[in-house]
Amino acid sequence: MITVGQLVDFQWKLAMAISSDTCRSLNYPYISMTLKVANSSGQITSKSFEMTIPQFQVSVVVWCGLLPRTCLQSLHV
Amino acid sequence: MSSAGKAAASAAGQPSDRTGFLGARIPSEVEVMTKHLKDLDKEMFRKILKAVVSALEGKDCRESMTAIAEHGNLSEEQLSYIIAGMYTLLKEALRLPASSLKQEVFKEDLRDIRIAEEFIADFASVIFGSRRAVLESAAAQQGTRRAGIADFRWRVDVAISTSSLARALQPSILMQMKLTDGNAHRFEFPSSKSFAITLP
Repeated sequence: MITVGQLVDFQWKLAMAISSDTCRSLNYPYISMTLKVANSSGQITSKSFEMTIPQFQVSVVVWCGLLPRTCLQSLHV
Repeated sequence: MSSAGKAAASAAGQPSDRTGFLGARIPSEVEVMTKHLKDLDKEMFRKILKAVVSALEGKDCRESMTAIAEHGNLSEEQLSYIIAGMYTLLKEALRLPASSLKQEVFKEDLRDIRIAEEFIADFASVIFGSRRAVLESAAAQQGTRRAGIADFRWRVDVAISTSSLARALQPSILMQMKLTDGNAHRFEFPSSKSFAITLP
């Protein structure tokens, strides 16, 4: 049986990448997220990742389609 | 032995309150070597010295050592004492930069421990000769070192809004380092820690 972890924490950030070692003037917005997932034995692993705005918009559409209405209400979507 | 040497020097009317390059207490393997050097002919001495210098350069010298052990008229025990003493003597001399240990002082220190003059000349040619740079770079490579940075990338970001702050406007720096030992680290410097990264 495949066990799926439980999402225990979810943090997000909307930010602007200003400048980098390869590009002086980036000026590109992105969303970064940190998910904390607990496995069946209670161990928590943390995963952080970034998305461009279009990627985020696609993922929100997919996500909202999968969530029951009660969750969406609590997220104020 | 060094105190005997100093006593001899001061008896000759020269001040000798300097500690030799081998230290206040001569390493025991060097002392034992000097006893056994007396039985050594020049050719054999040079063969052994050549093998020890190869070892210091990081080369594999098992073949030459075996050849010396088989064809020489030294017992294995004698040979091991001589090799150990030569190795330590040269390593100690190489630790000091050429600017602080001068050739004359080096030779004087070896005279103090009763090494024959012709052997002193051979030792000096290793430490102060053309092979010095090779020996120094080999020694540097054999030392313990931390990993270095192979690749370093960064990005400055400004948070507009986060799950914990509505109007954040906090700058941060995202860094990614690849080290020479193969490890990679990606981490973020929040603005509260920005004082820690003023670069020269």
